[in-house]
Amino acid sequence: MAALSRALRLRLLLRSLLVQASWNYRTMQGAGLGFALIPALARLCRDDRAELAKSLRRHCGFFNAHPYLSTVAIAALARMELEGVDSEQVERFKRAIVSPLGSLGDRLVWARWRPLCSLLAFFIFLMGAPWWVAVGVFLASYNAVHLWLRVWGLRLGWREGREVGRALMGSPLRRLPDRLTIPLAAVSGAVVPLLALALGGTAGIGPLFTIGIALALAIAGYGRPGLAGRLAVLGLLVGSLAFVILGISIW
Amino acid sequence: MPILLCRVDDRLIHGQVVVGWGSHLGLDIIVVIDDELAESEWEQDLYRAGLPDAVEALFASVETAVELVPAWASNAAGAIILTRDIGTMRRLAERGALADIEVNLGGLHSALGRERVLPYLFLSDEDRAELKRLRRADVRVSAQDVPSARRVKLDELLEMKAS
Amino acid sequence: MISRPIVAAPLAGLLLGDPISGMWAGAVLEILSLRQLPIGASRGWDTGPAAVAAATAALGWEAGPEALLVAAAYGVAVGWVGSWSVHGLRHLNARLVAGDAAALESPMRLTGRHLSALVLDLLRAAGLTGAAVICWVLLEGVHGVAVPARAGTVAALVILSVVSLGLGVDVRMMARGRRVWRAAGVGAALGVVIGLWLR
Repeated sequence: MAALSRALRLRLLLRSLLVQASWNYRTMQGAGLGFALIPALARLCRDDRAELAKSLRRHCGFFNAHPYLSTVAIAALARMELEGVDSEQVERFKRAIVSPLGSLGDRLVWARWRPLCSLLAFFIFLMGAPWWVAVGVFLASYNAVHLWLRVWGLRLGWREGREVGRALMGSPLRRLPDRLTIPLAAVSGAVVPLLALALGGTAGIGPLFTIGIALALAIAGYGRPGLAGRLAVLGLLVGSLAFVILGISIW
Repeated sequence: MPILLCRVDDRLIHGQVVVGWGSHLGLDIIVVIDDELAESEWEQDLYRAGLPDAVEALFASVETAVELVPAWASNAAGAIILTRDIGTMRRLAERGALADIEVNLGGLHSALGRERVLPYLFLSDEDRAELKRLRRADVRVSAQDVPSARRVKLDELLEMKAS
Repeated sequence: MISRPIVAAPLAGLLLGDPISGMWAGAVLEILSLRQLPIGASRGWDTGPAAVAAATAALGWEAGPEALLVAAAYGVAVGWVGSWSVHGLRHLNARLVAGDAAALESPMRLTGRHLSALVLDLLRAAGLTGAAVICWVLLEGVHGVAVPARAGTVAALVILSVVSLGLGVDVRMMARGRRVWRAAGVGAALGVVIGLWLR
């Protein structure tokens, strides 16, 4: 039994990698969840095709979670189904688990860990590392946490089942985003003068001038993130357009 | 600065609310108004698990909420009020709890009988009827999923064709 | 996670013989997309095709920063088109896996539909990337035109401003005391600068 459930969990883990594949505006990851749960449901309804059809249909409704933490829900649901928890409870669980898995994952991965890894990669590139080392550092560091989250989530969901909320509340995941803010702020700050030096160098502008401009703008951007982001993209488009037109007119 | 946002969202507490609106508005407390949830501890644990330490979550029934909304409104802490459906919001409005508060439709997702009006908003006939009742109760209503998105006012929303 | 600009662009650059230019183009796009959080139904630009397009356009940018500037903008434009194609596909997926409930009731059919959505997305991204590269090759008459030397300075300053603004955006924090952390970031920045000067 233990060996069987180990194999089952591995299959759930692998299927979780594709949970986003059919993301859509109606059910979001709904079909993805159904797809991921197939091994568990098929085992549960081994001899009963009608029952399998019914439970697949239930699990292909609305669902959404951070993809890396979707394993928490997948494992907990697999366990609840295998233990025969009634379907109304299962539905309520699904409805509630969407929220923490989205929120925890968004804050930790999208808002902290991914920017941190990509800025770190750019930082070491600017410090003079070869490009492939920088790319390697990004892929290795980012995916180490990515895969750890999937495995950790699967174990937690499998162990706690319906009560996984309490375990999530006490988990390090809740504190981690705030902790990561410090290195993220530091790395993003450190990239600014390095970038100014590198770009100033190619265009022959003095470092004091470029660093001053870059720091001033980076600090200004903290106050109004939305506006600064739009200005950045707008500046890029307008600036490049000016150059293309300038280039054509000289040519 | 009391009530920052009064939102109908069937996902209740999630990323768009906490990161999207929360960091935009300066959020301290999320009040979820839902009769069923106010009774169920394991579900409350799940919803709380997604919150950062600085943000608290309260779960209240409509009955309790009607009494407490004025207190939240005069509190120094910035609060976001959430309900799962328009009906709960309408009940609050009819009890006079939503005076001078604009209702934000932030997310109602696909379900049997619901048709897509906006990418994040699916409405059934019943939902539309509830919206009209809100309008009759003189509550301002608009739809907007994230702060950077366009705000769609109720009149315009009700005229949109389902697709 | 190959679709992140900081990975896709240098790899595309490597295929085209110039990974360094790809790295730069990718880094600019990466920083501009930091604030896009793929939450719920919201969508940012499609970073994979954007990165490959920018890497193609950035080939040999060391001829001058203006090439990098134009390349990054081309990447953003392609990424923007890409976000619309993603939007379309998500509607198509809704028909595929959220319309006909009977089609999801057997493991075989559910798997088939789910995976065909994946294949469609790969085809979409590949098609867009191919189209973006071909468009650039056709546009190349404009690229590489001699621009006066002073313009390179201006281009470098534009890129620098754009990226600095983008970097300021990225550290959005919820918890209190963020001013301390912001100062830590700037302090670290100045530390690096002083360190470089002393060296």
